Amino acid sequence: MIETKLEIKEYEPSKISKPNIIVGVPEAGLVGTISASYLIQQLKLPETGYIDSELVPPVVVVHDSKPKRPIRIFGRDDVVIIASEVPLNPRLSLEFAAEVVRWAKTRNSKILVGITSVPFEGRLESVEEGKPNVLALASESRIEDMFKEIGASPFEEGVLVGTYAKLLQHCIDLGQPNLTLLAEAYPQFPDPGAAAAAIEVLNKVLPIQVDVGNLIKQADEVRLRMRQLMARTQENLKRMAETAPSVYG
Amino acid sequence: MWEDDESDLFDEIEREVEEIFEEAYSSSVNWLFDLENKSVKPLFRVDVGDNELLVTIDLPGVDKKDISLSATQDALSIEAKMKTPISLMVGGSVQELVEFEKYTRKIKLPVKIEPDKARARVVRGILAIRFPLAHKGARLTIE
Repeated sequence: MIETKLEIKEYEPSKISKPNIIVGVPEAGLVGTISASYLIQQLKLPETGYIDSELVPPVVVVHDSKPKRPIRIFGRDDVVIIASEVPLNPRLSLEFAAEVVRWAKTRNSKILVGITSVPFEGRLESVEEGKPNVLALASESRIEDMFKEIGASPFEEGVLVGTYAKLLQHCIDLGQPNLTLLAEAYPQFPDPGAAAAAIEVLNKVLPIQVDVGNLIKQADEVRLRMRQLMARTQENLKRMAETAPSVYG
Repeated sequence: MWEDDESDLFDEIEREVEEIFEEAYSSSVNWLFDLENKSVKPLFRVDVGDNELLVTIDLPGVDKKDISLSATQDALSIEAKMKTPISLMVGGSVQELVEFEKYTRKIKLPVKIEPDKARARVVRGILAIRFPLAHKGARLTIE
């Protein structure tokens, strides 16, 4: 086994305390990645750090001619977003989840919100009818009590696989409040509509107010631009699913 | 004994390094683009049910009237013009900007279908086509 150590590096000693942390990594429908990048853009959050590990693929992402790390941290005041532009392989995913939750705990994070999706066969119909549903899971009953008020339905039965599952588990273990939002989405296609639905729920959870109008307007372009990442993510999810139990009931 | 352990360790390290590079640079380009024809190959999924086969194709930025489909018993071909051409960065470690104005893809179907009896609909650039399966299972007699 290669020994690895994942590190969260901040550019300046952090002034952020008690943050609301949002995590967006590429998984089914790229709902987390699309939501995170739209929120960063709309809230004009500055980059405050990055995540480094030997397991992060050797990739430099170029934005406006500037080389960037693929997993970065953005934030201002009490909002922090951790966003990845590469799929996390199973081992990186485990280390990422463990370290992010540990870090959240040391910063006395108010809540850690994971944004992802749940595959939904009836998505074509829900596109026609308007907004997809957003399901939710929480680490504690105090957060579950908010579901109705924030417009989310409880995720009642099934299996959550991947980075968000590990994040939730570590949050429960360490007593870090966690809310995981799962928008009903097409798992194989980038789904900005599902991301918009998740952001609308997030608007009711956190002290932010982000209009999703532009995301809906740019949906076709987002779907096209995210195709390569979607294809890579699919491959990665297949590997993760091999380790998951089958769903009963 | 010690040498065996060491070579196992090196094999494992080599495999892991290969996997990391493969993951970063694996070329999904041929699967996603037809660069010769300047066309985008759309993402799709195929689901086989008891009586029908469902093909769902992601076609952002396309109008229903600009989609043309043809099917045989075991393949589906699609061509669709985009409302507006789009420039996308294409490539693995070296990328270039390429302008695309259409989607094309030929999808090999996993089972035989009845191509004349398709039902298709498109909702916001998601195309769903349902085909009845060609052969419903024949009952077998055990002698």
